Amino acid sequence: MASGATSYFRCVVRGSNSAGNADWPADCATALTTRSNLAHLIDESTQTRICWMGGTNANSTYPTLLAGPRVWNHTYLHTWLGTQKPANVDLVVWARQTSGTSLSVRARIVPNSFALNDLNAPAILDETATTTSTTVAKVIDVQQEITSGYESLWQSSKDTAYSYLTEDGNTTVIAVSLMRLEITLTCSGYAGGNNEIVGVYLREYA
Amino acid sequence: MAGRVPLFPPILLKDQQNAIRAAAVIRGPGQWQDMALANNWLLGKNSSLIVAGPCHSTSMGAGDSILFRYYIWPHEQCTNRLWSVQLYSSGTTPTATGTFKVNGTTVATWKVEATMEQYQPACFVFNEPVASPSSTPGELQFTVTNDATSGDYAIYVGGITCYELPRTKLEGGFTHFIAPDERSLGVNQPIYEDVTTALSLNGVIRGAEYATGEARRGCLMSWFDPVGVTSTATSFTGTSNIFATPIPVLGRLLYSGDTQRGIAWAFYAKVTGGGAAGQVRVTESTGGGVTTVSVSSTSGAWVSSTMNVDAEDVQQLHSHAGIRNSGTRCFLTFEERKTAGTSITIYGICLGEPPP
Repeated sequence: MASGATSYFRCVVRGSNSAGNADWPADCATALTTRSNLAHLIDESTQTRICWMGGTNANSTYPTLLAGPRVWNHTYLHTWLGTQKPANVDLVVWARQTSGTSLSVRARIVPNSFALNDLNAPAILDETATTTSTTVAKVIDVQQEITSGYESLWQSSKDTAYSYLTEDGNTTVIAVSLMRLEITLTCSGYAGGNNEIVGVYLREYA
Repeated sequence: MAGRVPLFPPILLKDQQNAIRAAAVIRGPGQWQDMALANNWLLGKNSSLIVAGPCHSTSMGAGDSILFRYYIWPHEQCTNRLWSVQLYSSGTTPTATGTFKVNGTTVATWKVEATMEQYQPACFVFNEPVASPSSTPGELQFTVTNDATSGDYAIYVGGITCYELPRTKLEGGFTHFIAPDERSLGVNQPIYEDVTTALSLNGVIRGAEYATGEARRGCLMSWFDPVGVTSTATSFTGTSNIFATPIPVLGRLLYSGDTQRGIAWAFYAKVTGGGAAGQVRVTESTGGGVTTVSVSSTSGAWVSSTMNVDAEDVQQLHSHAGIRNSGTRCFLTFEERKTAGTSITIYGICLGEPPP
């Protein structure tokens, strides 16, 4: 055992500081207070949950979401909003339209306790924006407080909407609760548009 | 079944709270175990290894396979990795198999059978126990194969994410972890650490330090395209930009007063042609600088480096969502060019926050 460990009290009082001094150092008080402040900030720390952008190099493919001649489309991104209390999300969506009169983009965040294809599931975030830009443009840039739905993240047993993994040896199958980001793209005026979601960014903060 | 991080943090004894907040003397009997639980709760809140995003998955016909590669900066405290995968198909009863690999070693194989409905994502999660936690950066591989030997349905990868699960109870023996002497864990035992440079009270400080530092780690971007983005440009011009627009990046604040955070990034790239060589350049929009690295592999390899990006500003949380510079986002621009040979192709870009 280290020196000064004959009683817990003595050990604590005689703890060494960063310089190796055995006595209670004055800077320990400062250090603890500083660290305390930092610990408090952890809850307010930012977390990137989704970050994706389509490539645009002229000599390569141009992978984008929801590209193609569709009037309407619907896709899902899944993420785990890990904050264990109400928090905020910072959502950015980039898109462009190449034909038609306007492009409507709708982004929703839906708790996983609802079926994947339930277009009427209640959303904890629901944003719609329209663009007529034929070049890549930021169409949604919103920060919104999330005040409900977090209970399902850690405590819900209603996470059965997810399918399962065939077990292999000692691997374990579990189910977790995820949030999903639904993105709907609507092109008005022309059914053959090659409209695209080009990028999605979702950050969680307190 | 892996333990879940509790909804509420472990409650420290009043004396321990006082010690942290007002520098009072810490008294038993809880000692390290309580502290470690609290720290682990913080550590386990948010750690992501692969940030969600749609995979650039080309159609996999019967028997086809796709290999996805991601570069990660893991925690040594990690006990489990949780993978979340979304697949979808043009068919009604498809099956797919695949593997997870860490630094080239297979950690699991999996199979999804008839769980995909036509064009509706089938999502599964996989909990991988991590036998030897390590903080060494490395590669995660994810392979998907369409099991069909014939037929016209295709399988697509909708997305993949990976999270680390925290150690939910204190264990000794890690040099990069909150590593008290195991004797300290007994009731009425002192706070007493086996790392000689961080004894006793200083060990508590170090624990809090790790909690703040490690909890602020995370992945910032995970992008992999099996097809790749190829450029024949010889200069960093507009056509050598890899993405349609720069991506936003915001690092987590580590110490109050910091305005920028050092991040790590890695590219998976290759060059082609005789004497092939190329470069990848990353430019930060708000003063973090420009970083250029060389690419020389003709078969594909990771190239990594570091740079600074804006850190979150807690004074701007309400008015600008924590975005520094009065709400002006920090963006990263990625560019590629060949310096010799025929072309350069980038397949993957991963950004992460390394340990402080």
